[in-house]
Formats: sequence, C-alpha cells, structure tokens
Amino acid sequence: MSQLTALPRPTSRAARSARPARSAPQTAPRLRVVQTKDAAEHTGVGFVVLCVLLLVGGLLSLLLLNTNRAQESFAIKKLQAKSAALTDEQQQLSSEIDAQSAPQQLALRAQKMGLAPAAKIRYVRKADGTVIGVAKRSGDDSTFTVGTLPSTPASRAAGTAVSAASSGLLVTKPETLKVTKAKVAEAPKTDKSAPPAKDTKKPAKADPKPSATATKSTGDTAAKSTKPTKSTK
Amino acid sequence: MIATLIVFSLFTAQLLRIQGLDAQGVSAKALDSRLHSTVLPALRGQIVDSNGVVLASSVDRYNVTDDPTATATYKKRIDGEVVEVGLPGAAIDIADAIGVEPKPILDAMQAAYKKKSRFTYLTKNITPRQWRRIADLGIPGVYSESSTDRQYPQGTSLAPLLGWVGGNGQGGGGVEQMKQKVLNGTPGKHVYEQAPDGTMIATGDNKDTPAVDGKNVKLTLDNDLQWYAQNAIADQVKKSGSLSGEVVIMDTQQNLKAVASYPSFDNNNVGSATRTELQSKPFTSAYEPGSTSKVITMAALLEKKKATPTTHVTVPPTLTRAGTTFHDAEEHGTEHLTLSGVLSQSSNIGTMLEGSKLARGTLYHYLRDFGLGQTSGLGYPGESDGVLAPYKNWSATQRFTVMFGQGLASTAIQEASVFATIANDGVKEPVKLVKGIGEGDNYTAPADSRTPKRVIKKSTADTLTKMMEGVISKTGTAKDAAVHGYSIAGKTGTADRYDSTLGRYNGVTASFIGFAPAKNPRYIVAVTLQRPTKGSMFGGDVAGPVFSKVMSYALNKAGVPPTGKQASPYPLTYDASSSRKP
Repeated sequence: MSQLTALPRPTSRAARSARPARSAPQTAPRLRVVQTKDAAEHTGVGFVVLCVLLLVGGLLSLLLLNTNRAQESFAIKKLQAKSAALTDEQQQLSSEIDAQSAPQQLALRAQKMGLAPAAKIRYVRKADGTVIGVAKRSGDDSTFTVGTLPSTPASRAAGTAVSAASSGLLVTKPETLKVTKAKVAEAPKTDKSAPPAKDTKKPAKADPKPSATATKSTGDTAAKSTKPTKSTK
Repeated sequence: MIATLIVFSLFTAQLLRIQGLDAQGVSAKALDSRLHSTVLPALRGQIVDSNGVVLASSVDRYNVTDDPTATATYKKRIDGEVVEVGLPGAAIDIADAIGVEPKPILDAMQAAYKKKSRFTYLTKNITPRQWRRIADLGIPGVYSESSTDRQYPQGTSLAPLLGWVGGNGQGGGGVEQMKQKVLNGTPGKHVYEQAPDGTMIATGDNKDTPAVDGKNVKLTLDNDLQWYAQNAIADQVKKSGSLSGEVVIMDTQQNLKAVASYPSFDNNNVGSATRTELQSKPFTSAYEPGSTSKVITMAALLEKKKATPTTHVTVPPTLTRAGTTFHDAEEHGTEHLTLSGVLSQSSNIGTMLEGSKLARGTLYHYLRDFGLGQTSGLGYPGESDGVLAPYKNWSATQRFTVMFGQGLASTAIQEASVFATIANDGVKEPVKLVKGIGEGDNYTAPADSRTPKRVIKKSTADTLTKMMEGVISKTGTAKDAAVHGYSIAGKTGTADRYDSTLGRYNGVTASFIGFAPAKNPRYIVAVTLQRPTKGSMFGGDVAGPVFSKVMSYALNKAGVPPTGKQASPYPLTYDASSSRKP
C-alpha cells in the first residue's frame, strides 16, 4: 500500500520544484498548503518504513532469540542428563570399589589364592642389613572367621566370597604356610622411633628388583628367612 | 441491531473484567497451573576412617511406582504389529530391565488393579541406571520417586558403632545419630513452568535453590584394625560360649582406633537386627570391671607413697572385713608376695590389705580422676557413665570391693582410658572418635572443650607399667596375652557378673587390658568377654589370646620394631622363712 501512495510523488515533487521559481508571487497560500502536505508525505514514508523495519526486525530477532533459547535449554537438558548419568556411574563404581576393598572381602580372596598372614616378621636395619628383631604371629592358625560380611548389592556381586561366608566356611588353610614377610626398618635412634617409611616396607619376595640401597638388606633377609634363626625363640 | 449491541457490550464488559479487574488473579491462576516444583535431595555426608576408607556413604536410588489402570493399556510392537500386552507384558519388561523375577512385580500390579487403586510400589531402591532402562520402555503409568540409600561396605564389623539411618533420614544410633546435624544436608528446590505435555517451558520462570550436601565425618578409627579386632572377638565369643565380647583399641592420645563388639548386625539390613545387637556395647554397657581396676588402687598407693613395687605383703588364705570373708580366685595358703606380685597374681586379699592404707576419699578421687563414673564427653548416643557411688555412700564391704573392681561399674571405653592414661605417662587425654569434619580432602578438627589432665606423676606411671609387665610373666595371670617380640604391660580381670535379668550374680566378666610396647606404648587394647561358658573362665585365658592376636597384628601393621622378650622388672615374691612362691 505504501508503494501505491508513494508512486505519484516523484511527479508532484518535480512539479513543485519547477513551479516556485515562476509562479510564487501569484498564488502564495496555495503553494504553502502543497508544500506542507508534501513535506508531511515525504517524512511519513520514511517513518513508516522505519517502523515496519523495526517491527519486523524486532519480531525476527525475538523469534531467533527464543528459538535459540529453546534450543539451548534442550542442550542444557541433554547435558544435565549426561552429567546425571555420569554421576550415577561414578557413584555406582565407587560404591563397588568400597565394597570390594573392605578388609573382610580382601581376606577371603587372599586366602582363596593361598595367601596367609605372615608367620614371622623380621625387622631389618636398612643401613647394614642386620636383623633388629623378629616378631612371630600370635595364635597358631592362619584362618579367619569371617562373621563380618556386609550384604550390600555391590558385595553380593562378589558372589563366591559371600556364599563361602554365609555357609559358615572357615577358609581352609592354604598349603604355603611359610610365607615370611620382611620389613626393612631404619635403626631406631630414640625410644620414640617412627615406624619405618612406607616404601621400605615391601615384602622381600614381592619386589625382585628393589632400589640399590634396599637390594642388600632385602636380599639378605630373603636368604635368612629360608633357614630357621635362633633369634626367633 | 440493538441486540447485537447488547451482546457486544456484554463481551466488552467481560473483557474488561478479565483483562482489567481480575487480571492479577487470573494470571496468577494460570501461572499456578504451569508452575511445578521438585525437591532436589541433598546427599548425606560420608563417614570415613582416619585413612579415608569409606565406612558409610549415600547413593541415589529410585522407587518405582505404578498406576495399573494406565499400565493395563500398555501396547507394544511385536513383529511389526502393535499388540496390547497389558500388565503381564509390562511386568516382564520391567523385570527384564532390572534383572529380577517378574512375579512380585505382576502381583503388586494386579493387587492394586483389583482394588482399582491407582498407586502401588513395584520395586524399591533401584539404581539410577536401572530406572533409566525402565523409563526407556515408555510404559504408561510407570513413574519413579527418588530416594537415597545408605551403604555400609564394612557391614557387621562396624555396624554397632556407626548406627544406621532411618527412613525419615534421621540417624538411628551410633555415629549416624551423634553427627546427624553435620551429616545431613539441606534439600534444594527446583521451580519451573511446565507445558501441558510435561516438558519444561524454556522461556518460563525457572528458579533453583541448590541442595547443600551434608559434610563428611572422618573418624579416628583404623578400618583394618577394626575388622581384625571384630573378627578375633567374634571367633573367641563363639569358642568360649560367651554372651558377648568387646575390643577397644586406642592410642596413648586416646584416639579410638577400633571399637568392636559382637554379636553385631548388618546395618545394610537393620530390619533383621535385634534390639540388643544395635548398641555399641563398649560405650553403652557398664559392667563391674574386676581386677583390671586394681591398677587404680596401685596407682594411688604409689602416688601417695604408701607402698613401693617391692613392699612385702603377707597374703593369708582368707580375710574377713566388715563381716564378710574374702577369698582369692584360686585357693592358696599364706603367700609372701611383693606389691608387684599382688598385682601380677591378682590377689584380692593382698590388694585389700595394702589398699586399706588409703582413705576412702583418696581412693574415690583417683577412681574419678581416671575417668570412672562419668562419660567420655564424646556425646556418643546412649553412652553410659558407669556406676561410681560417692565414697560417703559406700557400704562397709564396698569400701574394700572397689579396690579390686567390684561394687562399681564401668564401660570398656572407660577401662581402656585408664590404661591409656598410664601409658601416656599419667596424663589423661580426652577420648576422641571424630578426627575431622569437612568435604573432599579438607577436614577441620571439631571444637573440643575437654582438656588433658595429669592424674599421676610420670614416675608413678613408669613404675606401674613395670609392675604390669610382671602380669604377663610365667607366674602371672596372663601368659597367654604375651605378644612375641614385644614386652607388654597389662592386667587381667575376672569379675563376678551381675545379671540384671536374673537379679543376681551369674557367671563372670573376663577381660584383659594392656598396652605395648611397654617402654614406648603405641596401642592400648582392651578385650572383654561376658559370661564365657566353655573352658576356663579366667580373663587371662579367655581374653588374653584375643589381646595377643590383636596387639600383634596392630604392632606389625604399624611397623613397630620388636623390643625383645617379655620383661618382669620387679620380684614378685620375697623370701620368707615359712614359704616361698616359685
């Protein structure tokens, strides 16, 4: 519609621009009216176009923004679901670890593998490899009574261990009873000696290639532990 | 024409009413119908041991609910054809998704369907993964409600100490109850606008109040020691036919390292536990300690310089005081013991003879200072403060019996604390169970108004320790308590046990409490067994072997180098012309 009204304008404008020069002195009032009307018409077109543009632009951008927002909310939902799923997964896995690493489960599994608590523990001074003391295991048996198993779903997954326990089974004595564990200890200088550092406490057999300083002492210990020593009595 | 005008003016009036006058109410109503809110559950904090091993943790779980009237219309595409499979089909699909038997699920559906009920639980406590599998089936009428589950990976080994969490989220007993406020979080709220099809309106008003998860509680315990102790006491309770058994392990600063009691229960399944199993007996049950209490009498004698370890005591076969004739546990003729010998052979008569040198008030003062007759101040739920009557109320015989631990009652925690005080050169530290409270790896020690207190001099504590080393000697009462490679100090107890259900004394309380290595103590272990019925009843024979096992394990685990053979620094008997003990 604005196009239609706009069409005649160029001619009228041309006429207007031509006329004033010649006929201005004759009919001044008429000229003024035309001029006002013309001016109004002229500015009105721009304004309407602007308004329409603004309106259309505004609507479009609103639409775009909303579309984007909706899209983003879907993305958020998706990511949230993913995050929740991962959290669940993490929760599940860590609770499975907790259940499996409970000492009673480890004890049962260790015994199944034929492991037993160390019968003798030799404390060796790291500096010169001398035995500073021997501690024997208290009690004569190496079996555990496991009356302490939980019944979490995760631990049920550890199936065999639990069923072994629920049937009141005392896990049979493993054949290899003579597992000797050696501990390498720093020489206690005062009465308030600290426990030996963790890294030096490795059992002699578990570490075939220990560090240079430890080689001698652990090697010595392994050799000594195979024959009976008088210091044990 | 007029009619049209009237109709239109009516429309205008209505429009005015809705848009103008009632605008607020109507829009609020509309918003209300769109607005939904869900509770964001807060996860309860973990309980961990001093090394960070998880002792209790909470996980998200779902309960599956069902509206069977909707589920009955469940349709499924089978071989390209849509078939209505109804309740049985839904039950089978759900059961398959979570890996259980379909029967109970179908039963629940059908029972509710018969009653025309539109709500029933199909299964409870399934994992989020399982629920997602069910949700993916798209069965009409099947919904979920979120819940949490408390898991205790250590099970029975720690259950009485930790307690459990009830359905209302409140800790029921134990640490769960003691630290309820810290462990419990604050649930959050998620408010959102919802379209009729249930999807969230993205451009609507959304408000989130995030949930604040509970804080973690770190205990002073060592989970490995706890389990070993629990296992050892469970074994011995069965072997000796005892009613129950307890092991308490602490260090010299009185940080509890293990608090084991048997019979126990599984706090993953509280429903199956009996009432008595639920209590952590080392805290909640007080009993007459018997001879372990003699060390307090000895401490007072030494501190007040009324006797020395070598003071000669002539012990007659019986002794009559306040109209009552007292015996020793084993019949004997007149014996010539030193004060150390009295302790090592656990002579009641010898203790009475020497203890009489102490005024009632003095003895009471020491019993009290060593922590008897009061709780540890930990705030552990149901903790007993024991029984220690003010000395002015002591009966004539009680004045003597308290010297050897009868006529007063104490808990295993209190008894262990007495020995820890001696092991700590005479300074009594407050008993500690909670090491820190916090999140992740960031723990802060809880505020504690209790302060350490010197009870006896260091020299007295040293002397007393040496006297207690004699208890484990060949002639002492507890050679079975010996720990190979270490010299230990300790004391046996064999007390008459008061049975409140019978209303009279019945059976004994057998105990052994000691610490090792004697010269530089690392751990204090207290072992108590109630009413053993098989074999020997003596504390040294019943509790001694458990002590030996547990202490040996604890020392080796901590890497404490051996200190040599069991020492016995003081002579236990003295040379008298009449007789001489070997």
